[in-house]
Amino acid sequence: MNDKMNETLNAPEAKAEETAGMAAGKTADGSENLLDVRDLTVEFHTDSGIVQAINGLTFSLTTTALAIMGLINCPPGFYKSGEIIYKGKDLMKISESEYLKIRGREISMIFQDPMTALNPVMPVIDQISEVIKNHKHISAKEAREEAIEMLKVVRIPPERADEYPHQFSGGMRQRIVIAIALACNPNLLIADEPTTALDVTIQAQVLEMMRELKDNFNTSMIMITHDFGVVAETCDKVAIVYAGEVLEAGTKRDIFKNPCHPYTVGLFGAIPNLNEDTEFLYQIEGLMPDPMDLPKGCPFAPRCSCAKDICHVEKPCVSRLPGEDHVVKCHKYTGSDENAEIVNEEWRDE
Amino acid sequence: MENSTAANGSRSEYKKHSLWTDVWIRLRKNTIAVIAIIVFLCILFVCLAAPLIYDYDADIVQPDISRQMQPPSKEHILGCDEIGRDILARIIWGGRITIIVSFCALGIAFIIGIVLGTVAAFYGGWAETIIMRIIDIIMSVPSVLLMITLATLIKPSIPNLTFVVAFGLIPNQARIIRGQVLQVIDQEYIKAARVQGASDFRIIVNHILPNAISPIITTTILDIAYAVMTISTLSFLGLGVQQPNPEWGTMLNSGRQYLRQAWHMSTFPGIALTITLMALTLIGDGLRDALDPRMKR
Amino acid sequence: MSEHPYLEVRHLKKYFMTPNGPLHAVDDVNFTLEKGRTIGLVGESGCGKSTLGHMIARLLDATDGEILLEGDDILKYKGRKLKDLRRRIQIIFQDPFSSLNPRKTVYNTIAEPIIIQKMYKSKKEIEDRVFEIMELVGLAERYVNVYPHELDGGRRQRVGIARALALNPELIVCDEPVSALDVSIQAQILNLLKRLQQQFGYTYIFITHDLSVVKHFAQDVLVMYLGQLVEQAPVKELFAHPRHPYTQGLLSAIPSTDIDNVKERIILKGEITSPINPPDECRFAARCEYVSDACRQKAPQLQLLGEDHLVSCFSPLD
Repeated sequence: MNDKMNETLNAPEAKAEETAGMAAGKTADGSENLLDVRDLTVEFHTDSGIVQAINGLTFSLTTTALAIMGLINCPPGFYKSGEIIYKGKDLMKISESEYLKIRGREISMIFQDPMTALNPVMPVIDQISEVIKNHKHISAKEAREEAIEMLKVVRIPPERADEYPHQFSGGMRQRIVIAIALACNPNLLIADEPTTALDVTIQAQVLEMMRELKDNFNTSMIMITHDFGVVAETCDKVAIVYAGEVLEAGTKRDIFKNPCHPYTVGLFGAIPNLNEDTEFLYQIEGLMPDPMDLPKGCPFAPRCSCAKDICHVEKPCVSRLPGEDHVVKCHKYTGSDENAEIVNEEWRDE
Repeated sequence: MENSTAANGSRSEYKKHSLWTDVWIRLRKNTIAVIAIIVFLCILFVCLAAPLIYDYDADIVQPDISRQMQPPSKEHILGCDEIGRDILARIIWGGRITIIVSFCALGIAFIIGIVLGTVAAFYGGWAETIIMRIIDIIMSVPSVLLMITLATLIKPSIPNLTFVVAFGLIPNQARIIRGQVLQVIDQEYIKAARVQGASDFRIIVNHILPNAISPIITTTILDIAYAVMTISTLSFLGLGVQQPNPEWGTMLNSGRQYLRQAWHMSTFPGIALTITLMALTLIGDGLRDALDPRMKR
Repeated sequence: MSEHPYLEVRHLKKYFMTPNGPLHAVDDVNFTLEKGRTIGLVGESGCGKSTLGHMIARLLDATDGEILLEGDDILKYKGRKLKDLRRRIQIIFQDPFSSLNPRKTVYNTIAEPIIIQKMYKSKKEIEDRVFEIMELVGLAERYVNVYPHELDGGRRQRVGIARALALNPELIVCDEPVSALDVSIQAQILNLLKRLQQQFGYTYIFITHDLSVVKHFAQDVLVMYLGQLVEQAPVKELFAHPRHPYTQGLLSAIPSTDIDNVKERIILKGEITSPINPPDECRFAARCEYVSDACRQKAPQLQLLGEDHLVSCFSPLD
């Protein structure tokens, strides 16, 4: 299948979109993987009857995240195959009521747009305490106290607790969203472009805070972003996703210092660099493939400058590169290349 | 050079779709809307062709006591009314009056509504305040009540009926158009047109109205339905089309008294009214979907 | 000829009336721009950079001040003269979705300005011009009769650029032309704009919030904060030696992709203050870590430091 995603989330890490990274604290159960996503395939059945495969692209990483949260609506979305293993349990197989216990309490999510992620007719404090009340089964009063603590953590003055979302600025709203997400001290936080809607200086504030909270709360984080800068600042591991597939994954150092997939290389070239002067930026020609009509071979082949015949017909398998945990899916590194040993699907099992 | 000649040759190959061909292509796929259109076109055709089939004096208004309240028969498919006039002929003739009046009323309301709504939205300020306040005042009165009041004030005649119905439609038209124009007016392509030096008139006609029009077309079709209903209501109340002229509302009213003896007298005009209204509503819905190119699949 | 700079903005002000008082969107901005150069206008949302760009493109009237194009105040232009000016100044918009009329095909969109300005009379000439421009911006001819919603963001932006170029303008205001695009498409559009500038000598006013794009694209940078210029300098100078505390914070806030040299971050406190009826003090004072009493008493003026570095601060950094 052309839309598999293999993703291991060892305790402290996260994964990426047109890139980005995973960052994380340590799991409670030490060495075991907190989250392990294997061969996850989700399909969307659209009106025209065409199957839209997911995972990847700007939009579809969000879908992956939603899949982990168990929030894909059915229809149009269907889990086709694969497993999302969270603390040894396959989330695809558990019941909705079990999911309710995990969602919000153990895994929570931050959305891109702080304007729409909050309920406009509810004071912010109630929106935070509601989550706490639901999961911890404590009295409203206690929940409110905890919620106020959370507000302090995200540096919102407690005296503003009873105000409504529209009375806060964008950056503050995003901090409130973060407070809601962290209210139950989750093990895993999925952040979907949490700073894209914010100004640079506010983004710096929010990122700084997220980093701190991640350390203090010991939370693993999946950061979905298109901004390599954000990845560099917050993540430990990175997965580059394109058209629903992880094309390259590794530690931050592997990816930033030794990008191997032509797509990754191209992306780095396309970002204007603050430290270098170039007349023209590196240009990846062409466009993202239509998710309803993905190429048969490597999804990146039509845009790739070093694509060979094989790239258009056959999917490359996963190759392990030297480095801690550096894997790439590209024909350049399969077969003849002595640098790479073919590990196929086993790499994630270690 | 080679390139450009090749390009010249291929230009004609890209077939140009106008907005309306696209709309038609999309509308064609909607079976229900197509059926509704066919039904409505049939009604329209038969009604407008009525003078060719019937003679006004002989078939429509001439009483014939011998056929009084005759139930449907081979000769008179839908039966006859209390003074022996053929109901089918009167339904068709009545439909003709209704359709002509509603289209005229709508035409008037549409034009005045576009002008008022666009002026209010585009220029804002005093123009907007005055226009919108007057519209608010008119709309605060229930429309049927308003039209009944108007209809009682003036002599019941067909031109006056047209005016009354149009008057009832204007506020809604103007309000919807203003809303649509306001939505479009902040779009960047309006700014782009301005930067190109386009005049206000060109911006309105070329950029604003085509984009504001699709919901307006939909409501306009629905407004025809509303106009048909209003005409029938007024006629039913004796304020619209007057006897001996036939009209669905008038016929419903006169049949009402004989409902026990002659069910067909009010049933068939009622069915005619229902079918027409339903067809119009379904066309309106179909057009709305077809007019929105973002729905294109 | 060159006694006047190509474009000179003097004491330009734009206040919007709000129920709570006048909103100072642009407040006393001055700068000059030479022909064929690119000036980057950076700042956070709400700093007035777009308003400034729209005034230069004559989309908005100014409250006060002058915009001199080769010595002539274009704010006074009306009617015929204004219409002629439209040929010289064009604008490229940010949102590739709302900037194209959804009911016009690519051809009609690009041909529209040519028809409005009566640049060519015959249909053939107009058609040739449209195809010429489409080739310039890298739009394949098969898109000529396509509606905007059938195109992706990058191609839509190319149509927007083509429309702006159709009249062969001199000055192009680029209002965040790449901020709605993916990284790989952003690079394509930036390269395209740069290539066009080299080919035709356009002058760009490049509005963006993305400092790395400015660094790559512009020669001079204006930094705006709450409607005012806080710093102006050639791009290299500004990035190497930011003198205003705000610029410094802004530069420091850019997430760096350089994972080896993790720099010490200066994180600005607080958020942008209200532009409605601002007090007569340095507008950055509330967030500035070097704030002193002088900053609270009156607003600083732009002062020249070194050769071409202007900064509006009482105690500029070294």
